[in-house]
Amino acid sequence: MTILESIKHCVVQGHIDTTSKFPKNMDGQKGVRELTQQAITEGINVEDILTQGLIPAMTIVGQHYENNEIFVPEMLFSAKAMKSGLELIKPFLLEGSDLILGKVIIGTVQGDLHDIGKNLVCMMLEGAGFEIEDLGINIPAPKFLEAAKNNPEALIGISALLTVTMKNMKGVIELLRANDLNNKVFIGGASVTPAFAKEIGAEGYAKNANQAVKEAKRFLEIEA
Amino acid sequence: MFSHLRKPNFEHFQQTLFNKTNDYIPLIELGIHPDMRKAIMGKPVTNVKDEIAFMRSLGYDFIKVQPGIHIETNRSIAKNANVATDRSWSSEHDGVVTDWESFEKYNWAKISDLDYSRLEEAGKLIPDDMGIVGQYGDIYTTVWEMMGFENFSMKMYEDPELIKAMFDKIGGLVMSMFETMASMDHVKVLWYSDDIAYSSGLMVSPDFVREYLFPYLKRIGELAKKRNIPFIYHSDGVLYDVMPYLIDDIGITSLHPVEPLSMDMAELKDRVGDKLCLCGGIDVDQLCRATPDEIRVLTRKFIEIARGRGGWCAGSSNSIPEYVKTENYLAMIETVLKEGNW
Repeated sequence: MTILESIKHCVVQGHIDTTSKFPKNMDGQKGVRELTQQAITEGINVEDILTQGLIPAMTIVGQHYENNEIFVPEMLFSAKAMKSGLELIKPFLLEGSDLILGKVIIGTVQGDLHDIGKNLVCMMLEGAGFEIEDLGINIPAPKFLEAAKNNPEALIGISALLTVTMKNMKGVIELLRANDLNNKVFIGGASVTPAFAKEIGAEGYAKNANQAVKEAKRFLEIEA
Repeated sequence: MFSHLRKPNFEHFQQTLFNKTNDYIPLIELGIHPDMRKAIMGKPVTNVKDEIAFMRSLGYDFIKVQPGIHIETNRSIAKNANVATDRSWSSEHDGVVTDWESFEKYNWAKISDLDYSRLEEAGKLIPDDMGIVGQYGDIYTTVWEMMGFENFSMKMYEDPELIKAMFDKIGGLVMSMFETMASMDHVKVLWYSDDIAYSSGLMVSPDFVREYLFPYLKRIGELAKKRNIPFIYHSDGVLYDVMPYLIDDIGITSLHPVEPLSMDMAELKDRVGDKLCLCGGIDVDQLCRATPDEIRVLTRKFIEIARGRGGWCAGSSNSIPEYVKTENYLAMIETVLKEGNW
């Protein structure tokens, strides 16, 4: 196995570093952190680490999650493993590099404090090569507006868990459009449906984190 | 309130939960928000007597009662302009128990702290034609809420002994509640609620829930079986991956709430309708946003699924929060009372 294949394998397995006990059968072995450092030291192109190691690994993780082969905890380990590698190569990636697919501003709508789903979406998008601006939870519409004004090209992801809070998503989209901002918006959350997305004028809907990556790529006309 | 209001018949409700009757469709809810109760009754519904009057006036055969206990997690408040009531949720990152040190320091509730006074009062006040459903739950949910979901996920693999100790603590308390409730003759249905799934699948692996949570459910199932009373299990989300365990190992008789985004009622009825009574199913989102006429149409669809087969208790696909339209909630009940007979 080449070092890039090993990085990919470790991300898929969710093995962060030698101290990580997950998964059991890799306890004590080198993880993404050490292997990425090793690859950088050996002079392997950081773009290759990203495009041949980290990103394809997260695509596989997303598929496993969607197929119910892994669940939220295992996905969190993979996302943390990916992040440990990404942090090491980030300083070497040039600003405005075309390896960054695009920017996504994301937040849980006002009135709603849920963020497991939103965070998974952030991790998967980051793992797919997007730059993330995570506004957090309980975000009022003007905050989305402010972020969109600073990033008129960015995609906007809005999350809500409950019927009562998903109503607030409409207010965000209305405020953006009233300010002549055309950022593409995609929404998700337990109660959200494609029909609701259409009704409030969102351009996209994602049932889960993997679908969110597909939607973001669809907006940018990138092959999923 | 309703022209077709039925006289309560708890025995019929019980038999429906056992999937044994086929006469008419009973009503069920896990929770009805105090503001909704107040809106319908014109006054707050606070004590057991009011609760009985309220449920009876809407056509329910039962009141649901819980033991009293408070377990501190790590909650924050969110204000929402759409509703008068602020909502609180546990942090999904940090909890009050994150490691062994905080586990040891935590001021754990004791079995002697459990308060059964409401259940005892209900036993004295419940009329003969109604019954008491003893309900509690959330062993799994309380564990992750106390730990924060992210920390809980990590510790699941990094420190499974801590996870086990958490389940032992919370599970011990909850089991004590069910043992006590099952020992009360006037408690004639047991209802355990604990969300383990999302609309796309389980939150954690089937192996995890089978190892840590289901042994408790199995014990509750045994308590219900010994008393020959129904055992309802509530979890949001898609449960197909664990359905055989719920039915065959644990012995639930009834499943609630059958969220339409997660499991289709007609499909579920075809798959497990011979083994389980299904409860709920009417989309809360529709109850919030549709018109009463649309709710009548939706409710009729469910009645048709159950027609000739029974095994359905009608209700919302979760509970009745304050932001459901009152007229929609009443339209759902009215349609069931009027048309859910054969």
